[in-house]
Parts: sequence; structure tokens; C-alpha cells
Amino acid sequence: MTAPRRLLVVDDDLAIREMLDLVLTSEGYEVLTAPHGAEALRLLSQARPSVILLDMKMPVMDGWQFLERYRRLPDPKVPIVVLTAAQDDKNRAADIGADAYIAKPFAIDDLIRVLDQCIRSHDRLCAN
Amino acid sequence: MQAQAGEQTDLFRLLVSSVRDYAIFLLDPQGHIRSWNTGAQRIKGYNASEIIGKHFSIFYPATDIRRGKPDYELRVAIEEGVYEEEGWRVRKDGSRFWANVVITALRDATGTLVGFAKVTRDLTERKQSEEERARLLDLERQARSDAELALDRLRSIQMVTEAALAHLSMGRLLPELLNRIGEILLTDVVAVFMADPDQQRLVLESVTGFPADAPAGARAAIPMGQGIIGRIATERHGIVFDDVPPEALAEPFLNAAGIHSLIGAPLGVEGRVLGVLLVGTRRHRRFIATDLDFLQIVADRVALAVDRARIYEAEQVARREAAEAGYAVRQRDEFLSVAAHELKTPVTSMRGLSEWLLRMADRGTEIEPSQQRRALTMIHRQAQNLSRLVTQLLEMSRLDADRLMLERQDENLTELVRRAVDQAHTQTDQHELTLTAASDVHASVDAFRFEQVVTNLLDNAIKYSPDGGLIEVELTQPVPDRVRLAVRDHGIGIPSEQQARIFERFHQAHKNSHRSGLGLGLYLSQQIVGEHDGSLVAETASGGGTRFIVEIPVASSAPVGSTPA
Repeated sequence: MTAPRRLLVVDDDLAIREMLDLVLTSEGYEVLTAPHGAEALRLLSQARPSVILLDMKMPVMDGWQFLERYRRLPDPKVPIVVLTAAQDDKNRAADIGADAYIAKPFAIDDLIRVLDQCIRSHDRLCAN
Repeated sequence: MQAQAGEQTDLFRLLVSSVRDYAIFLLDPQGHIRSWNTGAQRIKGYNASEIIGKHFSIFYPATDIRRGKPDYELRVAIEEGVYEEEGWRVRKDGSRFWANVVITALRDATGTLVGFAKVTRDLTERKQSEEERARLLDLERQARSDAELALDRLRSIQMVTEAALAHLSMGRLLPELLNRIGEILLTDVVAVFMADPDQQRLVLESVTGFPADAPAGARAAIPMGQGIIGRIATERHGIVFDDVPPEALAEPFLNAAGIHSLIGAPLGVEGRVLGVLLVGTRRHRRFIATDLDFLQIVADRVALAVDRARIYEAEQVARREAAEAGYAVRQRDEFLSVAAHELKTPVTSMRGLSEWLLRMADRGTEIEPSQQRRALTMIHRQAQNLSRLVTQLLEMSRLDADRLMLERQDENLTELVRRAVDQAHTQTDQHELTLTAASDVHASVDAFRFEQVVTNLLDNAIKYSPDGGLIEVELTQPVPDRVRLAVRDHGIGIPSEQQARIFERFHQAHKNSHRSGLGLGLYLSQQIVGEHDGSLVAETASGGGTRFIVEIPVASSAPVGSTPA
């Protein structure tokens, strides 16, 4: 496992951003937050996270729009965990290139496990 | 020469006597028959010996003799030289024949009348063929007029049939149709009565030729089975009255219409009676069988048209209701999905935080007091959000049951609004909220409800300005007896096509772009403001964003006379 475990949380809901910031910081992550896709893209131009936690339904630029733009970026990709309340978003998210899916409301243990898996498999891929 | 002349006279006599097709004979100046020929014998039936010497009036019908026609004819011949006519004459056997008659006065060289030459031709056959022709012409004319009448009737029947097929509204069709029937049957009054839905009464649906000043009772519904009209419906067959019986003349409708003769037919379709079609005349009239046939056929078609129009209308209503029901179901489904989504946010936050706290405790990891406080504050705030959502749901079901009761009393709105603004501040780290208010604005409000309104408007302002920015709240008294609260954001605004609908229950102007609450906030707010006798409107603010404006009266308008002493 390599050093920077930086997370980008993209969610329009302050309550979710604050909760994930507090919890995942105490779990040893460095947490960045953005209230919508446009802000997330801006942050990505400055910092490279290990995982992106992405809500789908957001103002300004929603999760789908973000995914499309992100795929077209020249930078190497990082795992994306789709975070949504809508069940039918799961398949669609996989189609469009999300690596994992977790439904709200989720258990913190599950979230942390998914994040660890993503980071590990990504690190393996990068190492290969 | 003499002998030659005598020979010629003999020859001429022979010629005349042998002519078969003309009766040629001589009369003396008084009209007695002097000569006879073969034609005369053949045409009139007498032989020379029995007729010579008789007066020529013997050939005339008795009525002509009484009128002095034979003498008149001779007088004309004397005066004008010749009399000619066609007329009836009588044979020996008493039978008549149609004769062409020419009577010529004969005078000697001195001009003295010596007698008359009479030539008669039997035109009976020609006359008969002429009469036959006239009769045929007459028949043809009659047939033609019958055909025209039948065609006219057929067109009327067709008109009703077409109306039935075209779902024309009977309201538009009936008056025209009744006029048509009246023209065809040459009747004064035409009326349609329709059975009411429970088949108890016949209601006058449309009528022509009915006096405008008839008493109101003349148009009253007629119980089924009662009177002539009521019986047509229950007995289900047409009737004809050349003379309406005296007791029926007392029936209010027939009486007011002044009907003497009538035909009526039931409006029947598939064994059901929908009403009665009636025509009547004010004078005595002998109706013929085809009149009733025609009326019955028209009645059948009217019934069909009415039935189809009703089915069509019922279908339309059912379709509309189904669409409305479908809309209500979709709206409710959508609401439930939105509500579930809204509940998930606070639950996700609370679950995450509490599980994290437990995880720390299980590991025996100490949490910094500041972090612990942050977590608990967040849990607390989300619990508040949850209870607000639950309250909204309850409010909605209460409003459905019309149970929004206000407890109004004098409140310091400046303080109330300030509390709400402070609370809203804790919901956002991206917005700046400012309050401009006079120090002590008072009004009679239900404090709990009014605070809900303010909170809703602030929530909306935060939600719909996702990029943050300034939210300006103003509390003013534009006139001494009114209070005005304005909440203005610099957000995405309300699309103009949505402006009319934002106060509808469950409505979400931006539901496709991001989560936006239960869609109840503005609906509830407007209900609450309305209960305060106030108004809540939205306007697009100059420079972008939206401004919501609440205006309520300072004092509650208690009903007159119920003010407590």
C-alpha cells in the first residue's frame, strides 16, 4: 500500500460531505470535497486523489456529466465509487466506467472496505 | 246538262250514304232528321227507317237537353254558318261516345235556311287514349311527388343516421331535426322527450312550434306510463290519434301545445326506451300509415344517435378520469420516490456518524472532544432535518383533511425571522445570509406555522443557488397594517414555464437536475400564508435569482360579531 490515500468526495449535500470528511479523515484519508461535478474537475486539475466518491444527482454538473468529461481527460484514471440513492443507477454507472457502486444509506464498514479494495486493485494495476 | 247534273247528285248521295267513318245526315230547319247514312247507322245504332223524322236532340245526354244545348247549337250554326264541338253524345243503346260534331247551316240561292248538314265522328277511342294519357301523367306526377316525399323522408333519416355515426351532440342536432320532421309531416308541433337516468320520468328535451308563453307546468316532466306520452314510452309502440281523446287534451303539454291530432313513437334502442318522439297538428288531420312508419324510423335513428352520443361521452369521461387517476398515481409514486430520497440523506449522515463513533469505541480509540462534538452536532442537525421532513409529511396529510388550524397571536416577527435566518446559516457553508428588518415588526401569526414558511423560503433559496452567494432577507411594513417579508437569492431562478406551477403540491421546478426536497415546501407555505389572509408570490429578481414575497395583514381579521369581549 502506497502513501497518499487521498479521496475526492463529490456530493451536493453538505451533510454527506461533512460526515465523510470527518469519518474518512479519522480513517487516515486525506479528504477533498466538491459540491458538484464542475468543482470536482477543477480540484482534479490541482490534485490527484486515489479514489473518487461520486454522487449522481447534483446541480450544475451531475455525476453522469462529470463521468463523461472525466473519461475524456488525458490524465491516468483513478477508481470511481458511485454513491447514490437510486438503485437503477448501478448498471448505468458500470456502463459508463464506474468501478464500484454503493447505495445510500450505506454502512461505514462497507464503504471503507470498498475504498480499500479499489485502492488496492488500482495500485496493483498501476504497479503492473 | 240536266241529266248529267242529276247523275252527279245521285253519285254524291251514294258517296255520302256509303261513308262508314262519319255520320253524315241532314236536318230540317227545326232540327228533324231528314237523311241517314251508313256511318250514322254504325256510330249511333239507329237505322234510317227508325230515325228519319226524329228530332236530333235524341243524340244528346239528358243534361244537355235540359240545358237546351241542341237548339243552342243550331242557333250558332244559323248565326255563324257553322257550329263545331267535341262532346258526349248518346247511342241508341244509351251508351255514350265522344263525338266531333260539325253542324253547317244550309241556305238556298236566296239565302233562306233550308236545313243543316251534320257530320259526326266518333272520337271515343281517341278520347279514351287521351284520358288514359292524362291519367298516366297524373299517376306519374303523383309517383314523382311520392318519390320526392319519400326521398325527403329518406334524407331526414339519413341525417339522423349520419349524426349518430359522427357523434354529433344531440343538443345541436335535435332542433334542426325537429324542424325537418315538422316540414315533412306538415305538423305544427314536434317534440322529443328523454327518459331521465332512473327511467322514472320523461323530460322535454327539445320542441318546435311550442308556444313561448306556455305555462311553466306545460314543460314539466311526465311520469313514465302516464298520459299519452308516458304510455308511448312504457308500451313501446307508436300511436296515431286523428282526434286526441278529450281526457288526453287535459295533459299539460298537449293542452299548451293545442294539439288536436298526433303521432308518437318511442325512441328505442336494443330494447331500451330512451324517450318519445311526438308530432302534432292543431287542426284535425288524418294521418296515413306511412306517416307513423316514417316517424318510427326517424325515432329509431334518433335513439341510436342519442345512445351513441351518450356512450361516446361516457367513454370520454372515463378516459379523462383514467388519465386523471393515472396522473394522481404517477404524482404519488414520484412523491414517494422523492420522499424516500430525501429521507436517505439525513439517514446516511446519521448512520455513517454513529457507526463511526461505535467503530472508534469498539477499537478503544479516543476521539478528540472537538471531533466528537462535530459528529454529535451533525447527528443532531440531521435529526432535526428528519423531523422537519416528517412534520411536512404530517402537515400534508392534515391539509388533505382540511385540518390546518391556526393559533394566531401577536408575535415579534423580527425575532422570529432572525431565528430562522440563524438556523439556515448552519445549513450552508457557501451562502451569505443577510437580514434587513425594522427592530420590532409585530403581527398576529401562528408562530410555529409562520416560522415554517420562513424556513421553507430560506431552504429554497439555499437549494436553488448551488454556487452559493448572497441570500437577502427583508422584513418591512410597506403600509401600517401590512407586513412584507422578501427572500431573495442569486441562484438559478425559476424557468418561466414553471412559474405558474411552483405552488402546486409535489411540484419541483428542477426535479431533473438535482434533489430538491419533497416538493411540498411552497405548497405548504402558500397554504399557511393563505390561512393568514396573506399572499405568497414569486418573482424573477432583476440581476438573476428569485425573490419570494410574503405579505400578511398585521391584525387577524376575526369574523364580525365573533370578537371576544
